[in-house]
Amino acid sequence: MNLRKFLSAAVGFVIFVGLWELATHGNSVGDLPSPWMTLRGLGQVAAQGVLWQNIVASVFRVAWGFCLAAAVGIPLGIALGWYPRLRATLNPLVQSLRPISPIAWLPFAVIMFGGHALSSDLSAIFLLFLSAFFPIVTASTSATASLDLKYIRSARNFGINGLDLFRRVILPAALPQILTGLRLALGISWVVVVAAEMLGVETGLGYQVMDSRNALRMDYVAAAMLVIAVIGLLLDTGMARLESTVLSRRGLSRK
Amino acid sequence: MSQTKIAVSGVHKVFETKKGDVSVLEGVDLDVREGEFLAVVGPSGCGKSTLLNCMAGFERVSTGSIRIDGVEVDKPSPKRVFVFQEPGILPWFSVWDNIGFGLGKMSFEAKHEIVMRYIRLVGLEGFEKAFPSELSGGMKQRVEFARALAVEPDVLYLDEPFGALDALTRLEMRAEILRIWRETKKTCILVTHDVEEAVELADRVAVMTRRPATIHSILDNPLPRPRDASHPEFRDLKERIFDILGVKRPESPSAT
Repeated sequence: MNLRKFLSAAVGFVIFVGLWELATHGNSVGDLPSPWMTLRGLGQVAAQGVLWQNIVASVFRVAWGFCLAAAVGIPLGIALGWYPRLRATLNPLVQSLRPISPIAWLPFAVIMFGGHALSSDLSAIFLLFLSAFFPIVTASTSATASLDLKYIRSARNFGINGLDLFRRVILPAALPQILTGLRLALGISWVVVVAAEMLGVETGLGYQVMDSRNALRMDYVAAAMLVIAVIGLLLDTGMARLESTVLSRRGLSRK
Repeated sequence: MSQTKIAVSGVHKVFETKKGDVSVLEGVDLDVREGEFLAVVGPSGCGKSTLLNCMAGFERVSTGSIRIDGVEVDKPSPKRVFVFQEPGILPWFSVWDNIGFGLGKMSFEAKHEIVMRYIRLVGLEGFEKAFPSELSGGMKQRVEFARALAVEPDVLYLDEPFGALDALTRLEMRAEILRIWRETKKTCILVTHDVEEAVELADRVAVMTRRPATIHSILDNPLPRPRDASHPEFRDLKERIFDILGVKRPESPSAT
């Protein structure tokens, strides 16, 4: 069964690479690169050592932005979900800021963090924080606001309040939806990091794309894109696995 | 004669909605005796569940009073436990953790002893570590009963507890709740729209009117248990309740 799935997926890739080869056959490195040139370019940037630095730089920024967003977004979202007054005051504001692409904040980020020794890292992390924050806070809010009244009532019935109610009822009940929000947020962050690194920084996969373009090495651009895809896939698989482990350990596996 | 456990007097309940105030209960008077099994039946949407929610302290009455052992009910308490229509047990806890949910701080040994006693009472030995998602509807309902009983309440509120179960399991659980009631001697108040269920289980059946509701009448049910639904007196009592509820029925076979 798994083999069949794998073969089906492989067919899709083979067709894609075939069409790609047909479209780019005989091109030079300054033009759209062929699959083979991309692989060769990947080998070259890997051998130069900058590829690893760029991967580490991008992952590092995403990790900071994502963790900060989770640290602020989950408690804030739960509070918004739990207190209707607070939600009425703050949620419209949150929802109005959410559609603004984090990239639009870049000029402000540069002003806010400019002059600092880590200014380029800080402004990228700020954008990544924004891109992860909104999906996390939105998921946490709706998870908490839609808690089954039955669970809250039975907890109250048994005299369970305060921190105990939060730990034993609210958090586990909201957890599945929060985890989905985290996974979504990480995916968005990984998309945004590439754009965030195209201006004002000198490391990262986004920087590698721009730098290679400036050097007219389109094969290096494509190599960077390939790496971005693979890491993005790994991050998502990792989150999906974390999600199902946490849920099944808590008897909540979704079948 | 057993004494009054719960005194409901002159209870009005008005809900404020966008379309204005809706009066659900309009002067409900009801005395529940210590240790009895009382059923409340009424047309659907008449406010049976609202009455039960008020008696449990989840909702406050608009006017009137509800007293248990002479003390006004103003909030939920483990002395009176609500058993939900669909099991309110927590899906992220095992059977053991669910039954121990309301037990508060105590040593593991003490908790384990209580939990195991109630697991045995409801016949779920061997399922201590199972999660609710691995149990059938009837088993989940048993966990809910065990959880409610484990805190040793005086009163059990049963809000159509068998509503989500299939017909066979429902019959089984009716027998089960009767057995539990006899063994534990709790005061039980059952809200149901199933007249036969009410007649089979209860010592007395309170019949409510349409909304805004009051108690129309309270019928004694002296039939010995186990009760046989085909017994003429059983059918007679059912007919009387249907008449009060104003249910029009085709020529019933009992009228021969």
